[in-house]
Amino acid sequence: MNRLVFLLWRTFRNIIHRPLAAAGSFLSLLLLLMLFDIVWVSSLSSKEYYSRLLSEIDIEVFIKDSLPDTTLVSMRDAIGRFEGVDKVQLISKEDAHFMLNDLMGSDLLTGLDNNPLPRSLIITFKPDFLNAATLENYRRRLLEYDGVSDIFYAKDWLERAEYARVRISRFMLFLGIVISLAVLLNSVRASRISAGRYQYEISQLRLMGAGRGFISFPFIFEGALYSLLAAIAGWALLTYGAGYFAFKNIAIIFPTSAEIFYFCLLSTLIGLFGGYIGSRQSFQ
Amino acid sequence: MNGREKILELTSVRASNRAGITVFRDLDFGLYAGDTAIIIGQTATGKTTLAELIVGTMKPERGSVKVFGKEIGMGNERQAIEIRRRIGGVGGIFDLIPNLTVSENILYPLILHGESKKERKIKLDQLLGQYNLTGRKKDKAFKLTRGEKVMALLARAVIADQPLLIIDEPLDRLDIATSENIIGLLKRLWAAGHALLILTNGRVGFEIPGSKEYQIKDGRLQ
Repeated sequence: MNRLVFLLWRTFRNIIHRPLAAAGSFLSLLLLLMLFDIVWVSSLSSKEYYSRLLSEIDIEVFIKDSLPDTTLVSMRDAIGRFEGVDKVQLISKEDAHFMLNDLMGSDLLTGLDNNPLPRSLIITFKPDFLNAATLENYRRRLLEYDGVSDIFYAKDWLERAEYARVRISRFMLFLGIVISLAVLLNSVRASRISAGRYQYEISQLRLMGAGRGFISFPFIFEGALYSLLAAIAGWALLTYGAGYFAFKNIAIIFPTSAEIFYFCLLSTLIGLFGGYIGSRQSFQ
Repeated sequence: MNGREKILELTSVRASNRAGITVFRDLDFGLYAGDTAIIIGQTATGKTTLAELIVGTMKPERGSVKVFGKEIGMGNERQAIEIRRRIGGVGGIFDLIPNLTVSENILYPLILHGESKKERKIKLDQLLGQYNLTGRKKDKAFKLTRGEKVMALLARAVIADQPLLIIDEPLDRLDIATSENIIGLLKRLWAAGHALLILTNGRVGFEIPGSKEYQIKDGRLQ
């Protein structure tokens, strides 16, 4: 216990004796980790926005006039049993006429003897089945039914949105790797500078019989401490700052408390590892 | 041989100094517990290299260096650490840490030994008194005079009751009064049972009963 207290004292002494270097290390880590936080929050928020838009996607199956209503009802029931289908709504010619009027604000069919609008089935899906590949698969299956004249869903939009989502995920991964590496290198550099400054003390400690653990502890602890404080401060600043922003259609989504905890823990471990690598130089 | 532990045993050692110059070609040397050896050698003849070989910060190119009966070298770090904790050093490669206070410097070996705060305080107060450093205990080491520095190093070298003391140029650049003071302390340390290995580039100017003098010549001790 005595040794631990002494080592902690040595760590804080190292920090206090080099306030500018300590502040520089802390602030650069804060910026790096905050950048990651911002990208993470942006990604979660855009994902939530995308999911909301996705939930509005449905497939509309247009039916030939020649198909009897009884067959259409059987077809609706059969489609309702498809895996992933949430609801199938039958739109009659009258319903379609009413919807068109509602949409356009006036009756465009006035003067026509017959209602040319087709009957249709609007199929909505469970969230897990809302992706381009699955919907395309449904489209093919639905086309196999006699009486189907056309099928419509926002295929292009969905494909573009999925492409963007994949790009964002890859960017997040890339940024995560780059920032982790930058945090690690920052900790290594800070630890090397610190160990370099105390090189003479380290050489004397070795002569007195200090082990590697005893000598490295302050530098390793320092690296871990900066990373932990920077990670906590980053989230605190972002949470505080988020209160000043509001967007019309996008809600700002933060990671869960558990995810933030693991993020801080991981940052600490990276700092700890960086401190270890940096202090190894003092044993050369 | 004489019933006492052979704390230092260098056999057929060949070693170079940090500049890569071979300073020892076939060195044999031994020191028993409680004995004093004075090694005399001109600059760059290998005195510092000898100290480094003993504490294991340098490895011999050939031969073996046994300290307290155990081989020391870069290979077994754990063993080297245990050995170093039993060696006190003054001068040469052993120095105070300039930005620490005198007390902090002297206490380091006890912290490494894991002694309690209470025990540390008792030993520190006792040594500060013995070595006339009580008034300087809170001063940073860089503020000490040469004589005070040697005193503080001696205090650090014995605080954990280290059985072997390596003393490099103990009286270098000291006035007569301080020199006599340090000579007195060295004699007391010898009398208390510490083995002393004194490294110097000339005659030490004092005698310790039973001490042996060696000259470094042609890479050997004569």
